[in-house]
Amino acid sequence: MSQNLQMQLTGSLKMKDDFKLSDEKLIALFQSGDINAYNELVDRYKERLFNFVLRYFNNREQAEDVVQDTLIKLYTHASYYKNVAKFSTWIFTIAKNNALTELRKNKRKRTESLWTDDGNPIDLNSKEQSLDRQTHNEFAINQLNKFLDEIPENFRMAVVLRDFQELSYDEISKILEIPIGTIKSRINRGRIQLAEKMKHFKEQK
Amino acid sequence: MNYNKFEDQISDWIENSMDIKQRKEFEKFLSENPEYLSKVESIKDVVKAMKNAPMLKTSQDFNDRLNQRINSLKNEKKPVGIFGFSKRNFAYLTLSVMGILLLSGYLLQPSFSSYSVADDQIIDKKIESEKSDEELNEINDIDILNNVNGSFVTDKD
Repeated sequence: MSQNLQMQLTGSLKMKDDFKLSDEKLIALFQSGDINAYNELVDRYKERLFNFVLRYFNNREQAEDVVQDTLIKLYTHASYYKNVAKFSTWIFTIAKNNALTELRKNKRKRTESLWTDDGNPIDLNSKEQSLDRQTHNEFAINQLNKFLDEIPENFRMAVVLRDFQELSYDEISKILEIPIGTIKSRINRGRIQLAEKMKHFKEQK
Repeated sequence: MNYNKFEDQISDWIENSMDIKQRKEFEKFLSENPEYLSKVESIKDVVKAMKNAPMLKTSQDFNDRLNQRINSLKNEKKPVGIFGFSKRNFAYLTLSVMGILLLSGYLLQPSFSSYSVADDQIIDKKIESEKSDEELNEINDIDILNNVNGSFVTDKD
């Protein structure tokens, strides 16, 4: 019994330690056959990738499919990762390439917007989300998301990677395969456009 | 500093990635043109809002569906190969080799060879020249006979 408890404690401690491991350490562990390391990477990245890919499609189902394809590729092609680049750069690049391939196949589907005209997110689980329950801040963020969809894609993707995903300029440059100077300029332009839209929106209210 | 340069540098200023000289220049422009301060503030607010924005969640069955796909990949039988090639690739390879052999056999036939065509032309010329030689010989023979006859006649006389 005490041995069992000790094993459980060791297990939970190990899990805590694993949680602290860097992405690069986790992928190295997965490359050596540790499936738990893969699961941890999936948990760390599925939502980040989803929120990134979503900006290409604006369609949940398609975005989830692309993220799944990306994570399957991580599973089948883990050996392709070399520890010269950051793991996040590698996985975001795969996701971007998958998204662009899917876009080429289907063009951009804008049939189902994630944001209503009021700027509220469409919750697939309960579409009747009350505005009263939202704080002013949430409302502003939702509106911002809607405006983000309206700015040019090359500005949008750079802004998303910088301000939502908080990646470095160097990483964004590698993921989007664009020089850092151009990335900086696109992010600046994208932010300015967003700010102008928000300002205009506030003035209208 | 002009307005365009100011606008280009707003993000650098917000992210504190300017050197001291640039920063001073930027801030001097702002103090001289306070009407642009609100623009910088609004961009700052937008950046802050995006950084604090909650992420949209994937659907609840996302992991289950992923695991199902991984399991089906694991269970997928690898196709039996031939000499290290997949069946389809082996068939393509065999067809390609056969095609190359047939084509080369066809092209290397003597009648289709450019050398043999040239040879034929040489032979034709040879035959023609042989024919003309034979004709010449015949003429010569007649001449000789004529001469002989002539001399005979002459002798007889």
